Amino acid sequence: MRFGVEAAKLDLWDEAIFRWKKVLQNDPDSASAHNNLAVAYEKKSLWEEAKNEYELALKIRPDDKHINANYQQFTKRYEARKDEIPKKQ
Amino acid sequence: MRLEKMRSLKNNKWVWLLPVLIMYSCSSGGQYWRVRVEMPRPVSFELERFQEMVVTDFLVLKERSDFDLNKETTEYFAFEFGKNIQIPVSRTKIAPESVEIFEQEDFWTDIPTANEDAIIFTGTIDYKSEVRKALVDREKRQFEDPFPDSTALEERKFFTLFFSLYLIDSKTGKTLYQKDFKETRNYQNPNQTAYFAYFDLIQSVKDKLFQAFLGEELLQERYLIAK
Repeated sequence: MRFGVEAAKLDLWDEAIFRWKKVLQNDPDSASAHNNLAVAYEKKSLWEEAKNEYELALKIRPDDKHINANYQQFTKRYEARKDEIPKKQ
Repeated sequence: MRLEKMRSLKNNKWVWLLPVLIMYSCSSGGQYWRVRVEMPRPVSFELERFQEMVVTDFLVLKERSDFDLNKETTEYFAFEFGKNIQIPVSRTKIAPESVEIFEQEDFWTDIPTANEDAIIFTGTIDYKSEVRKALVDREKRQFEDPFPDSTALEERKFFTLFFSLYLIDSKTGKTLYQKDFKETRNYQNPNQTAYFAYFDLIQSVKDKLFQAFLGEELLQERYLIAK
């Protein structure tokens, strides 16, 4: 898990995603890994994936104030624009 | 002076605590790391999934005598998008006569484009100027004054730009994105011309459009959990 955090701090988000996915292979209920992956997906503009990972993290650890803080920040930005996003017909 | 400070720091027996405190402030109990990340904004519409952007003439709701509103608008956006997006941007002349034109799919599919999958950038524009009295705060006086500071009515020149944008698929003629903008600005300068004020207002519209279409980055804080 820490390798992923160190990679993210160096802006190596693909490496970080790889590490956190590996953590989840061994421990699918790791709220930390889901949270970190969500942050990485946000960084990569993968909005639906980020939302999904935050929701999984909060399902496992609903009272975690750090995950909640991340999710609130994410939804503030995401929800405000979601209505404007039209689909190509 | 600096050396003295260094010496006094060295002699301080608690100085070893500094790095520990710094480390502690970066984490929370060694489990959480607060990181500042340049997060991309979600884009409202992905222009670059098309092969080309075609900027057509706009429907001007009320022509002005002092400058050509349509010409300035289309040239401005063709130039700005040409600089900032990765797909080619071209100009095409059309003669829109009423707002119903945006519903006429055949009209838009008939527009010749260099690429098969093009997005048409068009819309309506209206621009008004007027002189109004505005309630403004008087400047604070520098000297003692028996009269208290207050607000006063002063004349201001107001300019308002109404801009309705339509993004139309050249293949189907359907509107894929529509948004209305109303930008207003007032000027103290009684000689401010409509032409110069127009560029202030159209720039505000451009900034909003770029935020929506180009997904500029924004510095955000997030927690990474290391345990």
